[in-house]
Amino acid sequence: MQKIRNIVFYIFMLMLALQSYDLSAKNRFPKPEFESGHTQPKTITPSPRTLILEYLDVMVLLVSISLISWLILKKRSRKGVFLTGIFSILYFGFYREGCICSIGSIQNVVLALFNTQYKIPLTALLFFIIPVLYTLFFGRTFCAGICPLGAIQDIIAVKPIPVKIWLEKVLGIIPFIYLAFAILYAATASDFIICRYDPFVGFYRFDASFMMFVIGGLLLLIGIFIARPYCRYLCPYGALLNIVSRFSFIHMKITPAECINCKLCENSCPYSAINIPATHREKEKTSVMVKRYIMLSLILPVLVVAGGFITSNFHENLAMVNHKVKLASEILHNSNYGIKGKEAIEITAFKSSGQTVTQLNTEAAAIIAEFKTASWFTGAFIGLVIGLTLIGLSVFKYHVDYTPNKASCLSCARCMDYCPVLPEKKL
Amino acid sequence: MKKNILLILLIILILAILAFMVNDLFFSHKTQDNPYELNTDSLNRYDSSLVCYKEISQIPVDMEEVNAISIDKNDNIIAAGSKLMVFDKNFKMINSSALTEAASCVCVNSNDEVFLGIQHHIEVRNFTGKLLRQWNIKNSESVLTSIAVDESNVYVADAGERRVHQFDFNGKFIKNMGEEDSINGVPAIIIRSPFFDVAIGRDQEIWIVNPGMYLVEAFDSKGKLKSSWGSSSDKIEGFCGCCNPTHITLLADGSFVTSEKAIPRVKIYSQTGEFKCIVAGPDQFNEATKGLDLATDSKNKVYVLDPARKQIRIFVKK
Repeated sequence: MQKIRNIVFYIFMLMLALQSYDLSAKNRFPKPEFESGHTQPKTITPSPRTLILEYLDVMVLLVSISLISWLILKKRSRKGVFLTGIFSILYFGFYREGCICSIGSIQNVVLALFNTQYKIPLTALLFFIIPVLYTLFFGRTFCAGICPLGAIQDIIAVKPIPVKIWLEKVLGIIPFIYLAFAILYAATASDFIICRYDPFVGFYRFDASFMMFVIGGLLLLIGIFIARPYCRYLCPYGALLNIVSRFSFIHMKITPAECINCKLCENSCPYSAINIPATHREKEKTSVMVKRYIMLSLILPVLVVAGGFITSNFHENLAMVNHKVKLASEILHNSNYGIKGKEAIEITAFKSSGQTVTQLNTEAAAIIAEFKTASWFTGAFIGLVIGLTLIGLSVFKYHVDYTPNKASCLSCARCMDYCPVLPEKKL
Repeated sequence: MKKNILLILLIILILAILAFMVNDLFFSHKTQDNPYELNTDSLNRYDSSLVCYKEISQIPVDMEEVNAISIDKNDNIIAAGSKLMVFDKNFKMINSSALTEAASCVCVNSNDEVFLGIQHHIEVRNFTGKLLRQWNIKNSESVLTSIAVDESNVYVADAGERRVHQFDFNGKFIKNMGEEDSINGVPAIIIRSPFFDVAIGRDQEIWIVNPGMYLVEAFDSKGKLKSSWGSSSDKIEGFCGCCNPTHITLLADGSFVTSEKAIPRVKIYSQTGEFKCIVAGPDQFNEATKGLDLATDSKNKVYVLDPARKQIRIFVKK
């Protein structure tokens, strides 16, 4: 009897809900006239999704990253990685229009850390954390084929040219610099520069600006010969995973058993991410070695301090990216954003906001003060990265077998196909 | 060797992309055009062959704030705002008197009593400006935007309350008109800006503008909605923007004269609401002119109050 009552109650509630839906559907206001040829400009972010679908995205990320980790580490399947990459391009790329992406989520996390008014969505947090955790356990399996930006570059890397190690190292500093500036601008709530200069998201949304379309197209063109140029020389999330992956517990191996040094895999990696065996080092004089290590131990703090000092000296220029600082500067110098003949829209909007110039200047001064401190850390971090890269180039690394470089290996599994060694059979 | 050259070129290309990004972030001036701006230039254009009136004269209205006009049975013209000014039918000023508070609307009855809507009260004065009587509108949120009279009633359009109050000549409240009637499916009048007009028709029906719905609605003496006309369109035949028309008045044959804001223009519609012709197009007004109050005289001349130029502009049929 109670059950029937419950059913009747729920049907009644449903009918009430439907009635309210009908009321809300009533067209009380005529639609505004937009027949004059006016087209609403496209927004730069996709439409918001219901929460359940956002959680679905997290589930898809979790399942796909687990699957690709299994395919790489257990099945050693390049084909599996490739197919997962295709799925990622279709789902995270074209269907989800490249948003939310783990690369951009760095900025959400940083903004939440430095700005208490910003509440980071749980999905953004999970999109940041899950790939980091998986990298810590299994290496950069996320980069292998889950990241839609990496996947689209991976499938076109058909004629890769090996890049010299020193050049790879030098260019490899750029993502860390990019990461440092992305953190600087997110922490000061100025801009999300990673999203602004995402080269492929415009393709996925079919709405790229001309310049970003050209940049994306050029990167894909370059990617035919220099595999994954964005991942290797620009991606700030890649820089983060580069650090985390060095400490990964179970990283993929080129050989399923003991390496026989057949050299078949030596040129298989399009990312120059294979450590070539190096068992012998040239003998050096002890005095030269000591001198070098003294130099290296001195150069690191010098680079850190110099980086911090130099960058902080440009804090006012760096702060110009912040729209409030820029606005205050434009009003102060009466330069009207370089526009002649009409008032810049930013200045018109400011005038109509009711805020005074004094209030604006006070806010801008506070932001510039933040930049002064933050740019010290930014510069110091860049100095640290340059210093550590120099040390990395100078230090001899002992390798007996062909092994993936845990930091730069993108776990694409190409090298595995070249390895003739069979897995050891369990007795 | 070829590979090396290609590699160098590609690395240079990567560095060029990087340089572009740095330049764009730090040094470039972004385009400052407002992408959401609605260009209404095309809406301001109209077919000049549709113009059926010509402007013959202007009466300067020397007052700080000018809000409303009305014409009496003898074609005397009354302008109200921070002053009450009266002109005869030859446009000669016969009286000007200052008001303590600016009137937002005006009309005159057959006894030459001038009814002024001021803040939250109605004042009745004669042509010399002498106060005859007054009464209050009780709601403090009232915004009186128009006033009309028939033989025995005063109708006050209240944009704040979104309804028309009916009083007798002594200020005795009779009823409200234009209220939402959910039982009979009559929706409330939609007002999105302080423009809400009321006028009396040939058969003593009360015409009330429903600007949010781009309608002009007729009510009978009992306050029942009888008919309506008007449509939303960016073409000359209709009304566009958020809320139009802002003002109406009637010609002797029952045709309507309407005025609009955003695209300032004055048009004539038939008794049944079909577009007939244009009195004055947007090019005849200053940009963003609004509050074009209207009146007609016994010769079917159309009087348009132009608050931007502080003139009463007189149009006659071509």
